[in-house]
Amino acid sequence: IRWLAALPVIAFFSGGWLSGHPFLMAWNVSWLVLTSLILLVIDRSERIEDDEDLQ
Amino acid sequence: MNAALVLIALFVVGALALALLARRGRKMSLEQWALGGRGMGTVMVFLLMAGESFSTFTFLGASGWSYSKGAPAFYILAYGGLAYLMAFWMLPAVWRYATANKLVSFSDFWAHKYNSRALGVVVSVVALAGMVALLTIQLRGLGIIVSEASYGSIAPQVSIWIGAVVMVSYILVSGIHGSANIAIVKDLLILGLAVFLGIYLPWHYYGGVTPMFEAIHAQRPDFFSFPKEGLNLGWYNSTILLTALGYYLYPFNLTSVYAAKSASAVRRNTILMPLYQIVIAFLFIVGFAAILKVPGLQGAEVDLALFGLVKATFDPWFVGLIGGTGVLTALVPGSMILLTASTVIGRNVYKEGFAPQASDRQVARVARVALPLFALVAVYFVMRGGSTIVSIAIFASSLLTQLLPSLLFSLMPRPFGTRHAAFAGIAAGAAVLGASMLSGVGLPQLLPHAPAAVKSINLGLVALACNALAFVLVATLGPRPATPRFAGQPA
Repeated sequence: IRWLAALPVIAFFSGGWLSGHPFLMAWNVSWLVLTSLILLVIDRSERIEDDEDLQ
Repeated sequence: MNAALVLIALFVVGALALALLARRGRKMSLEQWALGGRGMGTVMVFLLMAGESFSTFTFLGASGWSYSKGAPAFYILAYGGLAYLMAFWMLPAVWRYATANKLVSFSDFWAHKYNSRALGVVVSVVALAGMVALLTIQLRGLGIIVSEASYGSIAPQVSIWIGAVVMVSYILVSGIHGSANIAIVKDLLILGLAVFLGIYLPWHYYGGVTPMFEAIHAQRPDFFSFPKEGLNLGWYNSTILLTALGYYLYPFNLTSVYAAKSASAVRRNTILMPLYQIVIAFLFIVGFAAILKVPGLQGAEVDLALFGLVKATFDPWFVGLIGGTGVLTALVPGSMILLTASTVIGRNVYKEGFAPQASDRQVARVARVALPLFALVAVYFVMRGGSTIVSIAIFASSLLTQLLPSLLFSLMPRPFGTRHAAFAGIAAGAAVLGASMLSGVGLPQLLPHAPAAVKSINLGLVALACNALAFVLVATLGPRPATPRFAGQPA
């Protein structure tokens, strides 16, 4: 599920464009939270894979 | 003697005592002094990383830029998220290689990876130039904070000297342990104060955040969108990319990674750090709140926006509390920069450049002598004055990002490139930056008929593209000695 990491990249670079067409601040803050969550999910899934490999 | 000044003095004395006490019960080898014996757990690594990411750049620079520039300032929120995303995969690999090979200084990584002492020296020169700019930011911020919070009773020049002496003293005695001890207090204080100010000030002056934005929009309708020229959308996205790519090439950021006791401690931090960046949004709000209440700040004065509003709002004792916290936001990253710079001078410039047989003891001695001298150079640049905090930071980022291609190519599963390619890349990137700085010529002059989105691309990114191109060309067509060592592969 590493592809999830592409979402914040797209979001942070599109935020300025979207605002051009307070929103930008809320958008960036929301994606900071989502970035942490996405990294947490990827970290957990990779650990589960490591455990399965060990077994 | 006002209440604010007494509080600031107590903060400085308390921080110095806390840092000096950190030495107790420790035998200070070079590794213990510079990296805490590589024994820092998740919490301590977090405090050091957060301490470095939350400096006077964010305390004064972020609020100053939101006050003066509006939307373009939000690049600061975006690049942090992207930098930690990249760090999630990159930093554990760096940690594994550094630990397996007992690397101590920032430049050791390049010297060891490419098996080239000369490359270590070149990287050190680039890193030291970038670190002078970064230390200048901390000392300049310290001068502003103490002068403003003491209601002008201490001149900025005096507080800059006091700050530099305090930093040098406790780093000489306690090394990284001193910074870590202060970081604990500082992170708790700054977190509480930033959130409080970001909520209280808009409520106090406007009745809330939305009424504040409405009031600003009524008086300055153009403030809410990107300008057509200059700091436009092209500048915004290219600066996000440049600063995100260069974030972990701030040498002191990598030092915190070396100091961690496990790869998972490093990785856990990259998951947590985007959340910590949110605190910066509260300081942006303080900058917005100051627009209509402290009008008229221009040029480098915009860094005073936060204190201008705080002094107009609170009693002196509370201004002193904010000032004391501000002093800590300068001391922690400033001292980490000093520690990293002196280690680079000792390990890579002195030992790798002039005395390959030097023992760790001799290297440590040179590092301790270099430490106050490096601080003096930074003090000199602060006294010269000039640019805003954010513009100095963008310059430092442009310079340090030139080390990225040689770092990333060396971390690939099958390392690509040679020491010649690394030299060529760094030289090409630095040449583009240097030529632009000396001649004052940028993309708008070189491409006068290009679209505004192209003309406003951050020049650091152009230099980085030239750097990567030179690296690939020399790696493909140039001489082919030994390739870089694999990640995790000992010498």
